[in-house]
Amino acid sequence: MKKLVVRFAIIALFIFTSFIVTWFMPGTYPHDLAALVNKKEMLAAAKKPKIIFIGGSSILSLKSDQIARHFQRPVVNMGLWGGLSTRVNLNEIKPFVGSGDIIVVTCEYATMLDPRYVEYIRDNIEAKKFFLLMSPSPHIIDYIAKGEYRTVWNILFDLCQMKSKSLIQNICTFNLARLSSRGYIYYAEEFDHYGSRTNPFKVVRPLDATGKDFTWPVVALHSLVNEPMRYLIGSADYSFLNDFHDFAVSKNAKMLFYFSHFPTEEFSANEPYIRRYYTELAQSARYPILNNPDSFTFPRDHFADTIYHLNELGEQKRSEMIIQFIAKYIQ
Amino acid sequence: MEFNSITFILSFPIIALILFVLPKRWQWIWLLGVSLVVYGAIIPHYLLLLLFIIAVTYYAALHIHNERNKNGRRALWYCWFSVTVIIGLLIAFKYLNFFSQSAHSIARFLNLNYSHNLITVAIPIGLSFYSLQAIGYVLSVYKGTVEPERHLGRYALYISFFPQILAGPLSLPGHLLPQLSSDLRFNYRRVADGLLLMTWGFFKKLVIADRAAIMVNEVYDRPQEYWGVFLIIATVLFTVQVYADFSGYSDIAIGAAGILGIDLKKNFSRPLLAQSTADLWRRWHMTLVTWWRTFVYIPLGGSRAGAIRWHISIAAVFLLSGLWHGPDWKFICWAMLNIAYVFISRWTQGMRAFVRAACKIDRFPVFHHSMQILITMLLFSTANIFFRAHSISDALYILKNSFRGLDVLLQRMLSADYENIKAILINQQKITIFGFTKPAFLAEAMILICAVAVLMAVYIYQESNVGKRIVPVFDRPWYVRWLIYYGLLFSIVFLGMIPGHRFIYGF
Repeated sequence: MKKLVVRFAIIALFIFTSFIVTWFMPGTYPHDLAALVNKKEMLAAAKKPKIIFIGGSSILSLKSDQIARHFQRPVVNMGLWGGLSTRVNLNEIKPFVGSGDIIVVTCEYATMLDPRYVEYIRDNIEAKKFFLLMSPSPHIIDYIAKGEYRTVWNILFDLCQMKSKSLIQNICTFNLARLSSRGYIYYAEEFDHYGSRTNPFKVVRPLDATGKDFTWPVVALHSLVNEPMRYLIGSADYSFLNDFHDFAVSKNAKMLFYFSHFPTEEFSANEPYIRRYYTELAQSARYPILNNPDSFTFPRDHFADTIYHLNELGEQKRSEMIIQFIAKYIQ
Repeated sequence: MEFNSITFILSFPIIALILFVLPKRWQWIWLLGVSLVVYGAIIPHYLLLLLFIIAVTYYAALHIHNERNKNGRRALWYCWFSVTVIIGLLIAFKYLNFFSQSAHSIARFLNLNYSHNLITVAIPIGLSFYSLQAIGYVLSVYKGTVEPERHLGRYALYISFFPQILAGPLSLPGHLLPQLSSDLRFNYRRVADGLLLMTWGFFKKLVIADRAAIMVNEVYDRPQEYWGVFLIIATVLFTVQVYADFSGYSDIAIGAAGILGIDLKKNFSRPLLAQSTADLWRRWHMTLVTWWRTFVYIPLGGSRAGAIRWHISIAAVFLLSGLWHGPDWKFICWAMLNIAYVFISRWTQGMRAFVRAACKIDRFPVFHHSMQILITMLLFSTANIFFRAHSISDALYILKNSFRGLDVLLQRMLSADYENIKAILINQQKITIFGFTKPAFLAEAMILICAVAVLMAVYIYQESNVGKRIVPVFDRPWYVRWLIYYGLLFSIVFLGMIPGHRFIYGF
């Protein structure tokens, strides 16, 4: 019996050591949200003064190179997925905000006005997982402090599994260069050095129109939930945007907000809700709001695969408009 | 409590430890208690059904034994009574709706008035397995091949033994019952053997079967969204999945029982390397096949009572096996296809031998065997379409569309137009490929391919050494042993689909 227990302990130790080694060794992840790691590295390396974009996948196709050329400043596109909390995202970029930086924030309407989508992204495990990967220590400490041991263990375990799977893929495909890479496995192929997509979104018809069943701003629903929703974009109020604005001012930087683009048809169908959202936000904002929602609607032929993703034509138009918006705030 | 649950993994060592320290006279009580708790934990009131079947067959066997030499008719009556009770329960819980619905369909077809009410009742888990084990016991006692077990507790343990109650391997009474009376003590070699077998079972289940399941489910849940190559891959993968899932389950069950000191019969013998359908059924779900052979095939005449009886026996075994797998006409279709394979195989035996001789294919045994294995697997996979599809119409759709678009794909492949191949294989309107997200697909597919390659390498090694003495893992040099342990555990922990899917059989 003793012999068996000793052997069992040795093998358990081997596995635990493998777990630690897997966690700390470089490696990629076969999940697009792992691009958060690459984007954070890009942000840390960008020179001041820079323009940082925060938002969901709707800004992934942004013509960042045009914006960078126009303003002669580095551009860092941190946009990835609407389900990633803007609040947490803003917290993550704080250490990298410097004097003269401009932070342009946008939130997709679904994250504010579609209760089903808000329910889906609320406490989303994928978002938690990759925010932890983005900055492990503070998140692990936070979970442990709150006694969420199981959550932190599940996240670490899942991430180690993903890294191992990626390792197998890289070995099997003889892609040895990726063995020393970090973040998203296809980052180099799918993203440019501003953090925007290399290729435009593919045009797919019929357009995916999920995330447009709007109601009054969901922030009102959020306040009914007891637990503070750290992973929601807006919790009880929009104050996190004001807080970040104050932080930016303290660093001699600027935070700007703009209302996301939307198809004209869906906009008309949801106009009362979007207007109410605009009014509420505008009333509380201490930061400049670059547009009103009416000015940012596009016909459906400007969209690619969903009502949030623009095609080449729409993107060109949107990026030019954004350049005009920002130009007022850059001397 | 499923084998791939944390509850089982944490509680099994405690169950084993307590068993080893208990005196012999308490061991059966402990195992029976655990078995009943494990079974009762799933749906408590079905425990009554289990206990009822145990009681009926226990007393029937005693009466059969007592009456056999005195009054053969009465012994036969007890035998029929107990078997009828079990089959009646099986019909009531599993087949009543099926028969009622089938009668309704026939009546509708004949323009007859037949109203039917469907009963909504969950099929008791493991009923198909333990009822066969109980029937097997009664019939064995009737035939006089085993003495009846006079100890009710031990008999109850024989039927309800927790590693095997949910999905086998089925045990004939002569094999398992005597072991339940023995002194079950810790034995390092047995425990180590059992642990290794369980780990191998978990590897098959978590790394292969559950990964393949995601791909198979994606296609078979909505076959109309897929075409040719996807349908073929999913069909072949289902054969891999069902094998890895069920043989993995059997390995875990045999390993767990082995740790406790009980030897269960092997259930699979490398069926993926079978060279004919008949050979496949000698290697697949061997304990069930043995049961059918002992209690259906041989009593019906088998191969010794002429060609007609042989055909009837084979047809009966497959049809019963099809029905046993589930109350659905698709299982009957699955059985019919297998019957056709075995019959055609026998009818064409002479012709195939002639072709073999004419082509002198025997001079290339590796090629010959490889072709035989490939054809057997293709035939088996084709039959499995009916096993896995949700309905006969889905199965027919899959069969009809399995070659759709293959010509275009082949053209593109021949012209090495990889971008175009990618474009036709990746559906832009789907955010997944074969059920995995697009970024994750390649990694998951690679792992599946590597794991199946490992599995096949082990089997080819074992198959090519049949008849020779293969050095067991424990007698190999320490570094080989530890590499095997570490490799298997690493694969399970870091590459396994955790939490896993339910096992195909048993639930």
